[in-house]
This record gives sequence, structure tokens and C-alpha cells, in this order.
Amino acid sequence: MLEWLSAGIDIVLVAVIFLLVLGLARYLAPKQHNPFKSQVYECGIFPVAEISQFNIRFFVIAIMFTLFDIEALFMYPWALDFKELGTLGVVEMFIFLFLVFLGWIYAYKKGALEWQ
Amino acid sequence: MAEFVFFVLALVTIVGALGTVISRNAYASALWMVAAFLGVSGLFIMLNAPFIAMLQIIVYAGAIAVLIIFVMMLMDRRVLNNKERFNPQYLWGVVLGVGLLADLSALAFKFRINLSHIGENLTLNGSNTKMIGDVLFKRYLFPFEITAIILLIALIGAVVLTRKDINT
Amino acid sequence: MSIVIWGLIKFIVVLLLISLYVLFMTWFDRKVLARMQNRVGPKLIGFHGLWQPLADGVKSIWKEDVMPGKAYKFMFWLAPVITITTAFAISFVIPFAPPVKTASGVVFHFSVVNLNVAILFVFAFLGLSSYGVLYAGISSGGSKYPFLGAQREGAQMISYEIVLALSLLNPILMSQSLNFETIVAAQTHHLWYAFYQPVAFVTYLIAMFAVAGKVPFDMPEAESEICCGYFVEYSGLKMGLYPFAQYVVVLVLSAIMVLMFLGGWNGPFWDGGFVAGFIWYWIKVAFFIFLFTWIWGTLPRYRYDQLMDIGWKILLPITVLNIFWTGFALTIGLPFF
Repeated sequence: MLEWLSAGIDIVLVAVIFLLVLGLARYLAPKQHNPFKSQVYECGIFPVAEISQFNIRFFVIAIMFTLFDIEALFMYPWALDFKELGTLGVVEMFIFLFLVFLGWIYAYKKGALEWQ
Repeated sequence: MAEFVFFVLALVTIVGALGTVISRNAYASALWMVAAFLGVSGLFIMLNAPFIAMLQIIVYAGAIAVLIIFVMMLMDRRVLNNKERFNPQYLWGVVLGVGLLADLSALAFKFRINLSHIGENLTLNGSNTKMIGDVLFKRYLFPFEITAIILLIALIGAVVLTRKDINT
Repeated sequence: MSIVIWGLIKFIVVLLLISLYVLFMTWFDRKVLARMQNRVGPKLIGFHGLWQPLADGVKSIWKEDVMPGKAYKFMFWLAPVITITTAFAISFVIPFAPPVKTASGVVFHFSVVNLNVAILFVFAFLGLSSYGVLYAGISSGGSKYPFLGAQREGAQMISYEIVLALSLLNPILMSQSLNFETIVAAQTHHLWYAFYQPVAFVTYLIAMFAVAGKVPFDMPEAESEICCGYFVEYSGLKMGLYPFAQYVVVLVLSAIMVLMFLGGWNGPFWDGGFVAGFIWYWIKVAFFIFLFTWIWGTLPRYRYDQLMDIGWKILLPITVLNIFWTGFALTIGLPFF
């Protein structure tokens, strides 16, 4: 418990320290404002339009990630309790893994993993 | 000491949740939501459930919130900036929220939550993760395998819904 | 309460040491890369240019804070801080030396905090570190390159985190612990897990490069394609925090590699004692940190579709099949397991 408290305090401290350093840098830095400086970067020419598109494949990747992440996390308690659960636990986990793997095969066959 | 930490975490959670609802910028909303998740995971740690706490961060803050941000990135930035603060569906949100609150208070009233075990470690020899493995693979074996089928269906659903775009 | 105070002391020491390490690494990277490309590298400031990183750091503090006009200011400021905070948070659970038993019988740990679920903690904050990158792209005021870079880096990180999680599952299966010191102790009188788990070792090695976003998987920062990716709009110290965090992640991932697969502070010979353990541990970690630089100077960059193919079509099924194999081998009790 105290270790977790310590971890929490330390994490907050890192954030505060680096925010302070950034604030200090802002205080020390020169400020010469110029309308051209607040334009977005475009290799020296005037930017034409804002970006507004996003490839839907990133979204598919995010969904797949969520599912496989949950799958991976289910395996952690199993791995810790492996000896006590014995053969039955292994068989259960293999059924679970097999079902998720079926999903992977389906996605592969349907081309959801292709990146064009 | 424990009370103070609890109030800090509760404050983080509530402010995060409020920020999610109130914030005008959808992306800032998502960030507030992550803060709320972090607060909840802190509360789980106070309940001596580190595995659930880490699960909360990995799955909710690390995967589902990222998914939501990806969905928002799919939309046009200018649409997101000018969106109406309250959309016409807010009534449903209010109904659900009030219902949940009433439900939880009814439960709390009925079961008289025993406050004498606060902060105690009730798990076997301190290892919460092992205990979860034990319960999950012995007692809740069938629901666990059902989970695998739900995951499978979710995966197939995701592939089917986006396939049209992918095959072109 | 003393745990918290000790944690604070160790936290300050770790913060200073890692900052020093990052300063040294920027010099080391430039020097090694220069030598690999038949150049000299930094040499003017100090002994062989050793003060160069310090000069760069001081200079970056005095750089003007330029921000695109349409940027979301709050998130623009927060994004680098998220990145650096998550990177340091991971380093808190890494033991930096073998634990020492003091005279009173208390074990002194050389990690800032010694958690029972240290590996899950690592995954939690690796997952959160993608926010720093995503928000750098989002908050840059509709600039194109940060947005593209953030998409790429976000998708790359989450894809390879699964590979990372599934490869680390094999040592956990064999040692049944999520604590680094226990896992190292489980390897003390055995062969190291890299010999039992060569496949997991290799998949972790590949995923390590992708998660850290280093060459050959540095598509999010591809200079020649998207002008350095997600931190194009950043300048001065805020921009400096991104490579800073990357070096911290490199250190942490190398340390995890050594702890999980290469026996931590166990050596092939001259075993025993704190000093021997310390030296063995840091020799191995230093090798992997050098490997990052070495591969940077050697390999070209993959294409983005190749990266995704490697992650989702090759590494993911291999790691899942490897878990099948490990579970099978442990259950029937193969002689080497």
C-alpha cells in the first residue's frame, strides 16, 4: 500500500518538476511575436488547408488492439496461478486461446490485416 | 492518512468525470476521462486490488480511451470544434444517470455496506492476481469461455463493419 | 511511512542519474553514428565533445516558445509532460541493482518502488505513453505532419504492445511472478529464460524496437517522409522532452529484457555478491542500449505497411503459438522446463 502511495507521489512529482522546468524555459526565452511564427509548419510555403482526414484502418487496428489486449490480460492471472490450476487450467486456456485465434484467422482471411 | 488519500482520489475521479461532461473540446474531454480512470484505479489500489487497478489503466485508459480518440480523429477537426454542447439525446443520459444513482443508493441502503473492513487485505496470502486466477478458472469457468466467444464475435463484427472499406 | 521517504530519496537519485544518462547518450549516439559513417562527430566542446549535450540542453532552454496559432494551448503544453512522466513512471519499478539484505534482515530494493505487479505497472504506463504522442499531433492546430506522425506512432505503439505483453507472458508462466526480483531469482540456479524461450526472446527484441520507435521502426519520425512526425510544431525544451523520454524508454526496455530473459544480475561465472551482480547487470543492459545505436547506424527504415504486417501477421500468431507450446511443455514436464 505505502509503495503504491510512494509511486503515486513520485509520478505526480515528475509531472510537476517537468512542468516547472518548461515554465522556467518559457520565462527565460525571448518573446518576439510575429504572425508568421504562429503558422503551422509547411516546409516554407503557405499552408493550404488543415488536415481533416484519418485512415479508417487505424481504427480497425485500435479495435483489434482492444480485443487482443483484453485477451492478453486474461492470461496473466492464469500464468500466475499456473501450477495450482494444473492440466484443467491449461485446457481451459487453450480453448480460450483457440477461440480468439479463430478470430485472428477470420480477420486474416477477410483481409482486415492488410495495409494498402 | 488513508482518508486524505481517499478524498484526493475521489476528487480526481469526480473532477475528471465532470470535466469529461462539461469540456467543450472533445479531445480535452477524452483526457479528462483518462484522469477519471486513473482516479478509479487509485481507489482500486486502496481496496488492495492492484491487479484490477492495473487492468483499469491498461484496458480502459490505455485501450478503450485510445480507441475513442482514434474515432474522434476520424471526424473532421472543425466539426469537433463547433459541436453543440448538449445534443438532443441528453435526456437519455439524464435518465440513465439518475437510474444508476438510485440503484446504487438502494443497494447501499439495503446491504448497509460494512465499513469496518476498509483498507484491509482480504485476499489469500496477499496475492490478488493469483486469487483472481483461482476464481476465474475454477468457479467461473463457463462464463470465462463465454467471454472468449464474445471477444470472437466482437472481432468478427469489427471486421464485417469495416470490410467494405478495406476491400476497395 | 519510511517507505515513502525512502521512495522519495530513491526517486531523486533515479531522476538525476537518468538525466545524466540521457545527456551522455545523446553524445554517445552522435559519436557512434558518426564513426559508423566515417565522420568525426562532436569534438569541439570539451574532451571529444563530451560537453556538447550540456551545451545543447542549456541552449534549448533559451529558445523561443513558438506555438501554432490554432493550437489547443493546454494540451499542447501537457503532451510532452505526459510523455516524460509515463517514461519515468516505468523506470520507477525497474531494479537498478541486485537487492541487498541489510544487517537487520530487511531487504533493501534498488528500485524506487518494489511492486508485486511490476510488469503490469510497466504495461499500464506504456499504454498511457501513447497519449503524449497522440495529443502532440491533435493539439498542433491542424498541422499535417504531426497529425500523420501521431496516427502512425499511436497505431504502432498499440500494435506492438500486444506482442510485448504476449512475449513477456512466457517468462511469467515459468516463474509465476510479476515481480522483477522474483523472476531474476527464479533464473539463478537455472539456465536463463532466453535459452528456454528463444522465440519469445526474439519477438520481444523486435517489439522493443517498435515500441521505443527506434530504427528500423521509426516511421512516426521519418524525417524524409513526414519531417520528424509528431513533434514538428514543438520547439526548444518542449521538443527536447520527446527524445529525452525515448532514451528513458530505451533504458527501461533494455533493463526489462535483461531481467526477464537474461538472468538479470546472474553471470555465467564469477557469481555472487553485490558488486559482481551489479557489474553483470549493467554490462548486459549497456549491450542492449548499444544495440539500439548500432542498429540505428546499420539498418534502413521499414515501410509502414511492412511494419503492420510484421506485427499483426507474423509476430502475433507466433507469440500465441509460443504460449501454446510453453503451456504444453510445462504441463507434461519436458526435461528442460
